[in-house]
Amino acid sequence: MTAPPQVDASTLLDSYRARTPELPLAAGPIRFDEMVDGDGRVRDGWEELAEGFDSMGRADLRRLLGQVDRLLENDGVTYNPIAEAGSGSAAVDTSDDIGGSGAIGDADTQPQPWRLDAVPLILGSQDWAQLESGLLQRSTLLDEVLTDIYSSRRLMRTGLIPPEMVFGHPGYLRRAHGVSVPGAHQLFFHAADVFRAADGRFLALSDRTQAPSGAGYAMADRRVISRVLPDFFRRSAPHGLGAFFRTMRHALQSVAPTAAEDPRVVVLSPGTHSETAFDQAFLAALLGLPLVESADLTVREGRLWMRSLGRLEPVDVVLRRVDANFTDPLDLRPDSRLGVVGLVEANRRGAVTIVNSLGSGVLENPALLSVLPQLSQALLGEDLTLESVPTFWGGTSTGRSHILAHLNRLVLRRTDREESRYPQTMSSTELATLRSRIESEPASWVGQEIDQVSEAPVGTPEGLAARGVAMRMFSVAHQAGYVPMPGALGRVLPQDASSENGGANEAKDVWVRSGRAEITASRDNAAWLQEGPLVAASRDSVAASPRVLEDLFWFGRYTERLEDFTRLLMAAKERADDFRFRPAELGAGSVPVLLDTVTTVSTTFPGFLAERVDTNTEMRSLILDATRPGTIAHALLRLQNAASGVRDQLSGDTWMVLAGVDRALTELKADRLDQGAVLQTTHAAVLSGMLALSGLAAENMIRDPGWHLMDIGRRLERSIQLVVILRNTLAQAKNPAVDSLLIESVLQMTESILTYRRRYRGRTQIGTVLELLLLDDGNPRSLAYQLGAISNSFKALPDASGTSVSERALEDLTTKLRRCSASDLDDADADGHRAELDTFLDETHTALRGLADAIAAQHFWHPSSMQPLYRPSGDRHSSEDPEEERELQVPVPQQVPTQQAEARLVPSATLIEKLLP
Amino acid sequence: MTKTYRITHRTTYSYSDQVSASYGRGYLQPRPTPWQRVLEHAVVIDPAAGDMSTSVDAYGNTDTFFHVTTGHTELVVTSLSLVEVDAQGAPPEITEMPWELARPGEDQPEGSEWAEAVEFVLPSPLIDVVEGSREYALKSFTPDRPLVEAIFDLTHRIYTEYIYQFGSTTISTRIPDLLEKKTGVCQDFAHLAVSCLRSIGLAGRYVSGYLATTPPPGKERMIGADATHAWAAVWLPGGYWLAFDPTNDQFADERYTTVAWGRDYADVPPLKGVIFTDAKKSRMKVSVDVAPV
Repeated sequence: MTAPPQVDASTLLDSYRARTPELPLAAGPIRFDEMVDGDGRVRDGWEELAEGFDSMGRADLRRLLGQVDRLLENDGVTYNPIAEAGSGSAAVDTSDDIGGSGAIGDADTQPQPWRLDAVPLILGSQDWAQLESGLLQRSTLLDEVLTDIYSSRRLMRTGLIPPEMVFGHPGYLRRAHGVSVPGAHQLFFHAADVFRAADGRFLALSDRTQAPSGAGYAMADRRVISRVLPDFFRRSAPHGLGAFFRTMRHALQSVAPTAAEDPRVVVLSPGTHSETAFDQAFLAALLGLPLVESADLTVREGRLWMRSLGRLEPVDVVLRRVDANFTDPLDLRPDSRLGVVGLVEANRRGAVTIVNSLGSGVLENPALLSVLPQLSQALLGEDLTLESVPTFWGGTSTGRSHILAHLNRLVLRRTDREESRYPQTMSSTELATLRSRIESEPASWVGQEIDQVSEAPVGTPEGLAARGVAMRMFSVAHQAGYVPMPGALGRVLPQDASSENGGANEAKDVWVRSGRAEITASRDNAAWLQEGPLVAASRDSVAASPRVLEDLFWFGRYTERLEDFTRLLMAAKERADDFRFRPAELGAGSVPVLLDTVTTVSTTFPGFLAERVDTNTEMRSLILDATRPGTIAHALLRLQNAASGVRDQLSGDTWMVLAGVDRALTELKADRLDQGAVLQTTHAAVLSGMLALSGLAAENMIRDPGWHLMDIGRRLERSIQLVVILRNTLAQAKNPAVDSLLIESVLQMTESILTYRRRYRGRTQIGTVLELLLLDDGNPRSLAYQLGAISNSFKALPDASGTSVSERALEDLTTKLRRCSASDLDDADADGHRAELDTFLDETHTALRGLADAIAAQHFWHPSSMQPLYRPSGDRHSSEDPEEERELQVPVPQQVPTQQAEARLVPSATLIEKLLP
Repeated sequence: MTKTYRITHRTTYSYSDQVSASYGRGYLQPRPTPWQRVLEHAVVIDPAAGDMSTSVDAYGNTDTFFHVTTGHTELVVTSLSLVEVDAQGAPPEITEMPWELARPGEDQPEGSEWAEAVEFVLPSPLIDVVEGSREYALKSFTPDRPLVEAIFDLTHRIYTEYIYQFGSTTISTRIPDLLEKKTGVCQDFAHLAVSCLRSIGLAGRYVSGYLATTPPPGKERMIGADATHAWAAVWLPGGYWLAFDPTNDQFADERYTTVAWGRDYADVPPLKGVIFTDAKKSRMKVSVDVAPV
């Protein structure tokens, strides 16, 4: 037991006010406090919130923190941590936290729960007015700079931008020269990372223009906080965020090529392992747009198309979340598997618009901050309203000498943003190394003076603590100007500047308060009835892209596998418990058979087949060990992964169900001394979770091709599980006591025991068991029923022909089953071997696997063997030996792009299947 | 003296299995320049491309995009050109100024178009700028030496100190390897020369094109014996570029047909592409014929 928390009589607000100020990082002014001023008075805009928290006890706060975590889990809000390329502490460098959109996590990294503070960050009307105009001015300015860089280059010619800043930056794409986005702007979506300095001024730390992430997270945060703090939310009435996404949707349609009527817009994602996969999927959902991956798209006739059940649908606008360099292996990085061959060409011809435009990443060069004030004067005739942190670029002699002279007062960053360095925390040797690195390529570095970042209250179990905060603001190009998101993605900075990533991922909801808030907020919730003719149903074809079908198929299979395996585990455990203290009894022989079946079905060898295995330990491992293929935890990961790939196809409640199952596993994991009681609860939780998913699928999903593939997956999996279990338990007779117990267990785990008892009046015979489980097409657990259901789904698919390989394979299976007779299968030889049953089950299993392969071949995406035209080598300019044969080598993909690839690279479900007996 | 050439450049790819689709981009069309006129040009692809177009890249080169949608085991890309080429060069008062004055930078006079030349001073994907190239360059670029003289010397040193050896290098051969092994083919020597220029702050670009070969005395010119070729050029104040060929120890003249230029080979390959196939092997055959008209 932990000690009861100390009773602290002071209110949350009093304790916050009375806190001992933390020592500033370096000698410097006292940090600005967002909530209370120097005299302890609550600042403008914070009154309602401060009052609300003041009336809370510490227990209330703890409950609130728990609620936030739970809602995030239920909504499935996650983040895939990426091993950082650079080292150094996170300090105030928020910009790199949710940065590179092209970054892809390891196939087996588990998505981390998104962390969100319960206390919102308030921006009063004055602060907001200043931030809003500052952000819009920066957007406008950067837009002009971007336009110039890819057209006339006047700014470089006149010396306003040193050419090296552009030409030497990896974000500058020569292929983008002369390509433009229709309409008034080249910069479509802009994000600025902003914090408040000690003197109360806001400063921009960096601008994100490649493919800014975080807008989806901001909305997800808002949904959680508005639910856990409904009263505060009502009283503070912050600006709603919904209108921003509606504006964005309009803006996306308005940049479509002029020829496009009713433009189709898609969100291009690197896949479910990308760092901000949730943000991408959620943004797509907020915008009502299909989320697509490389495999869903192709370029033909100079246009971009989306695959859909053998047909192609044109695409007019791509909201790009893949880093520009990865979008086309023909014209950009040849090793990319995240792009579409020919996309650059289609874009260049104006057949498809890509936003943010290819090459927009050049604006992310932090060196640009050092010339932004002059650019603002030259292009807008204005001073910057939202200034940048003082930034010195090593590419000029004055900048270089300033950096080297003041090294330990600066944060050093590479211009390609791959690395940030914090001289204040470095040893003298490290410092010397850094110094020589800067001296050898000065133009690749900037030094930034980063002030004391302001503090705001954050919720902790002990009360309100003060932490540094920053935020990412967003704006989108719309008509003549830019529209800001009236809010932001707030970030709580790690407490200890030298800690790696500690707390770096905690977010904050940002509430913007201003006079207009009430109106906007109410409009956000209003349903607007549209006038005019009825809108045609949207062509919902993304539901039928091969990638989506494959994800849904596996979603079905994993759901079923988890259900069936859990039932098997429950039955095996029950028997093992029964005979634990009477191992000499005749029926005890059923225990090893069931445990062996557990191992065989899940292919978790050696498992229970090993000598001297502790049943409880192995049972725990079979649930908890996510690194072991075949376990519950492993299958759950795959299930979540399949679900992430089709987030926009599934009911939102799916995530709530999965979160509940996760929690049950966590509880079991925490209880290391459990002797089986918690294990049982976990079994029940997994089972009820899977049943809930079946229910969602049955009741909440449109019967489109995606649903049918999912159901086929489920039926196929159930068939396979059934034949493997029957073969392991019934093909070889033991003694009557063991056999009858095995039959009981089998009927239990196939949910058929009640029917069986009723129908056969309590008489137990192998033949009747087989009749019920294999042949009876009225039993939803029987093989005959599964095959019938698969057949119905086959017929419902739009490309049904009746003669495809998979349809014929199913037909063969069905015919063979129909010819079986229960009494023949029941025949056992003198040794008790039921040879006919054994052979039948074995052949059926092989046939089912063949059916799965045929379905995959017909409906799923096959990673095409993409190769270079020819692998160039040293002889290409020579005529001496102009003809030479070379092995075509497929370049090794640098990144694991999608779940599909992963399912093939890692010991996948398909492989596991092949290993099954 | 003006020369006219009819150029046939044919590339044949053969695959061990069916290729279902082939996307390609090539730099095959000679570019018009003050010293070169393109009278005729065509690219023919067999099997015929379902989609084909040309565009002008960031450096003003014309490139050709094609998408072959017919299944094939052999792809033939033929580029046919008729060009008129003059001698090229720059005014002597510029080529003979000290080489140090040819560094692009803010101290260049107005209108010298130095800003865009800065791109060619920076390292590029295939051209590292290393201490070794600087050491090599400084032997030719002694203080205040007239630029043209220094370039002539560098060209001559590469020609005499490096061995032309087919197959000794690959696309991934980097400058340090070249400096060490001292063997290569024309594009390696062009890369090396450019690396040397950049190492001392000069702007150097890679030029891709054709060289008309003269048959040995008394022999017939052999059709198809020519090759695609590569050389280098250095930026001069006023926006001139002086082209030189370290593989043949000479400045580029009316025998050199310019197709495209860029930072290095990767910016302007004659052909590159992506194919969809299960083929395990491929063969490539290149034939070039530069026929004087």
